[in-house]
Amino acid sequence: MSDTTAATEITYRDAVREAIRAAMLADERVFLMGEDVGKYGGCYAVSKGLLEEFGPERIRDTPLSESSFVGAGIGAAMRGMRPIVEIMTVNFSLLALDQIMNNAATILHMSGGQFNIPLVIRTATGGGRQVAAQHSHSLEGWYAHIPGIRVITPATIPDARWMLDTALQDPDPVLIFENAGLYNMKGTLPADGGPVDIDRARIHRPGRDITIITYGIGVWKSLEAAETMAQDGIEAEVIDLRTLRPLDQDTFLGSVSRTHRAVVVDEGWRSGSISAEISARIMENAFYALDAPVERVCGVEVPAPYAKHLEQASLPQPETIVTTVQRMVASRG
Amino acid sequence: TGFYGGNAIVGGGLPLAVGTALADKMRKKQSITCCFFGDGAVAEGEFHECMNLASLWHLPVLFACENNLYAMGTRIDRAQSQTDLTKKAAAYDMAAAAVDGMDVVAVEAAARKAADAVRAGQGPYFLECRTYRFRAHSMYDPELYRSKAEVEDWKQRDPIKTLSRQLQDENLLQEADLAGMEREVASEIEQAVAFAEAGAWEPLADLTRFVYSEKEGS
Repeated sequence: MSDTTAATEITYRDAVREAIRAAMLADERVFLMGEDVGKYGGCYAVSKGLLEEFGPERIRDTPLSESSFVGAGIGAAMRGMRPIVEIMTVNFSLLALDQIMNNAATILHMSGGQFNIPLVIRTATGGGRQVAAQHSHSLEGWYAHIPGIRVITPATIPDARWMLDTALQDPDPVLIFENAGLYNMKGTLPADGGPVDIDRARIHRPGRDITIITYGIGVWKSLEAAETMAQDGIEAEVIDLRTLRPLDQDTFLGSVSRTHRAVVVDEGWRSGSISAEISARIMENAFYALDAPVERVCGVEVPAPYAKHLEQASLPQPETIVTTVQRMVASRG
Repeated sequence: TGFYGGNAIVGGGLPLAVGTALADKMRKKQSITCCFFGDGAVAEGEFHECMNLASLWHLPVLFACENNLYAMGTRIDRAQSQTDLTKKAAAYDMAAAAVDGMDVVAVEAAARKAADAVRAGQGPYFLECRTYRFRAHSMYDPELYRSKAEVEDWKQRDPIKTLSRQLQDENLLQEADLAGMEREVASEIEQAVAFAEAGAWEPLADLTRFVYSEKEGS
């Protein structure tokens, strides 16, 4: 992110709030609904102040009934509105999975193209905050399994600010996964920002020796690992996928063709994960470009532990990324 | 179009109805949403979530429950602690009524009253039509869960036959008119089937269409 004089320093939380606010000012069909988005100001304070600004018709507090309010978002979208539904955390999205999978993702197809669902669902994802196994899921890769929806994972301040705009322009359902560990992150929002594409991954840090493919909070852990390794002369390229469905494989395949090594960093569980999908695509499309097998640094396959030292050990860390990359680069033949 | 189709997940359409009604209310349209479902859906959590939300937000929805006593093969008294379904609506502070679903005239009157109330801005309305399913749940259903005598008893109350008889008794319908209407319906169905049978299968190239919206011009 380049500093300009007019750029502002804000948190990821403020960037998301500004995105919602701007969308509501620009289009009266846009409204926000979810648990505690109004009076409380949002579980993570994302929507703080919006009830006062826009009123209870457009900032709608809902009961704790995920299936009905997510389904109501789908119905409202079918009937001309542009709802932003906030599911407080991804853990509760499972209570609305029927609506997401069986309605949002299928109605366009089952109606032969008659009914599209311009719905945006925002939800907080991720672990690492000692809230144990029922509040720490990273299920974005799991949702990326479903054809008919888009899955996006803003990692940076500009993406937190601008991806929502693009999502609201999309004629189909878009799920936005905001890693709860990023809400307090401060960063620069360039003054000349504008709508971003949500079709492509971004090379966040160029490097020649290995490609680290990641998304969300994994971007920041990977960048930290890359800086550590740079001191030893290993230059890692860090790719922020940004969108998990559809996957922009051209960007990471192009990178692997230059670096000849790839590691996927994903906080989700390893088996059947988005990291497995990425690894398979590299094998299918860039096998002969590889100097070493693809490796993965993933969440350990346990329900998220409560104890801090155990939880931290269950998640990818900059140290584990460094160790993995060093081993891969040492195998240079 | 105002017809949004059916839903193969029992109860899955109710949240959509809450949403279309919410959109109409927010855009200050006069439309109402009517959502049809069966007694089986009443056992789903989504039913209760939607009754609450529609009532809480005072949405223009007519919930039309066709209670035919069986959710697939499970009779209502084996699935519901309270078999008077209108009492469930009452628990959500929602206007509710039950009607003899085998009586066409009574259903028409009850539905009109319900729709008028919703249109008048009185909030959602729950209408339970007490009826019966004559046929098996599906072609694979051997109907081990009910007796043939029970089905025959209900067939005596066939709403179409009953209405025809009433209209004939009151001299509002002649035998020849009825036969003509039945021929017309049979012919329309035959034509629809013939049209479908004569149609071309969609090309394999269309397999992945409409997973996502097609961009204009493509």
